[in-house]
Amino acid sequence: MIFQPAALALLLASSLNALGLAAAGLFALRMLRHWNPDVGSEAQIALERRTHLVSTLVVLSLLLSLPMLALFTHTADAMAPFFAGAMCAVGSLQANAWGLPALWVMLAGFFLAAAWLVLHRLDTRGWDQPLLLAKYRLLLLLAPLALAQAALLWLYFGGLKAEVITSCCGSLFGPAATGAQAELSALPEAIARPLFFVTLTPTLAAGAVFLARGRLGRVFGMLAGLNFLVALAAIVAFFAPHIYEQPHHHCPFCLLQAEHGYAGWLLYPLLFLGTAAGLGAGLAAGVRAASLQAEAPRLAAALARIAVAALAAFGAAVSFYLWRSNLVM
Amino acid sequence: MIELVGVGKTFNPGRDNEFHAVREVSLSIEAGRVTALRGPSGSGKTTLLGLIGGLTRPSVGRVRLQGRDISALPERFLTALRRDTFGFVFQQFQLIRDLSVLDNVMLPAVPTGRPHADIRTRALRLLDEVGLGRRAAARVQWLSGGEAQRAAIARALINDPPVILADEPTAHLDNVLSRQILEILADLRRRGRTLVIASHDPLVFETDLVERVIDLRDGRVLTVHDRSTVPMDKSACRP
Repeated sequence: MIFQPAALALLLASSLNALGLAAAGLFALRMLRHWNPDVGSEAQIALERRTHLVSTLVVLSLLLSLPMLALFTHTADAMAPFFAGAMCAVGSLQANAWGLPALWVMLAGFFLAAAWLVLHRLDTRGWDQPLLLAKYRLLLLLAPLALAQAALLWLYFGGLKAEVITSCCGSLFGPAATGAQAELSALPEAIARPLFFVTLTPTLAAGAVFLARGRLGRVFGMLAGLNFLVALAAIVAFFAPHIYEQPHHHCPFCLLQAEHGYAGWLLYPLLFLGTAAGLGAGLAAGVRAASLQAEAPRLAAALARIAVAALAAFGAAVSFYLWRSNLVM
Repeated sequence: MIELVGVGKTFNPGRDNEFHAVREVSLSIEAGRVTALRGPSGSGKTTLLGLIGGLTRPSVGRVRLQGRDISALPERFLTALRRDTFGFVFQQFQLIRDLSVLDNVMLPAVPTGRPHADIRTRALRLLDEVGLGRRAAARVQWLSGGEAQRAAIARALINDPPVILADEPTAHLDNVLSRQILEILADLRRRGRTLVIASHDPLVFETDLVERVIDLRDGRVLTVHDRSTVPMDKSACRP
């Protein structure tokens, strides 16, 4: 194990997060089995009271977990010099079998946590808490994910050995690589570039329509999700090589480094914020509960404003980097 | 208007000092009428009043206000509902020392966000109505018992609630002051407000004010008398 303050912080935070969500998950199981608001039994009233306590615990756990994705990526990047062959976060993450799975689980956890927080925010604004059951059903997904995340982080950081020879990002994203990420790397710019802008533009347009007329909210949410996948593919396929000005350097993690102007620390937060807020806006726009008739559209609009601003800034930043690049592919 | 279904309240459940203050109470309180909860000390009157007004949550059962279950309401909604629907008159007045009578009366209206001038005007009018207009600037610790209770009634009315819950409103007052308070409460009834009064003071039941009496003992409802059909049993008032 390599004792890094950030790694220890991640282990502590993920363990606390897993403990909190595991307890909440167990409660969710009991609650979903016995919930009956038509009955004023002692057991039902005890459940009702405990939902407030458990929800607070979950909010704290999730707020703790949201910045973990950025900290984990940063830590992996900062640890690269410890491993022979590692040039960026990819090398650190490949130093054992648990790094990349931990990242994927964290990624899924990030968006699920954001969705839960949106549901919770809405639920607490309705006098009859109309989203209570949906919230607790989602907890049944979040709790195992948090446990898996903590376990993977312990396995990953616990299993790191400084003498390990690992592979650099070229082995994952280079011409000789295999797998989905290699397929993305090989995607021609002539396809990836228009695809990126063709997805981003209608996403922003749907967001603008929703903000102006209150329509297409759910469509905007779905497009924000699709845009995220296309944007990640575009970063690997054509955007990263333009930043590095090297046609075969497709790594999405080297963008986080100083020699590339920390471009990733500008782009990824915008993309993640825009996507999470866009998905949240779509989710809120789809809520039809009578007690949330005013609050759901209000929250959806607030989230859509954040999403449109973040995704527009993301698109502008990408365009700026492309315009500045000297690479001709 | 207000309906209680199988309501119970247990303090310190599961402990050695577990206490069942209210047990299996089911009743309905009609709008625009005066209902009195009668019973000796420890019979559960104050707890029941707290349950009706959302000050206390039941351990079992449901409390419904105009068909809506308020016993499971999240705290933010319950607070708003308490503020808008119920005016509370407490046995010990619960006025805030060192504040003026006027400030005490205005206080429950401050969180509503209404303009300060409007609140002040209404508070002064209410103080006039209960005969305390001249004492508006006085600090509450300078008030007599009767004045303090009248200030508490004015405070209960500041948000114009349709329901007034009064807990032993005449407990610390002599007969003359008690009659003054009962006259103010009768005036509120005439103006269409719903009143629920917890009391074991015979004076309360001698007047025409009370229309319905619910007798309590050991946290249970013993009998429910309608004034028009059943004569008052004053012996039940003795603690």
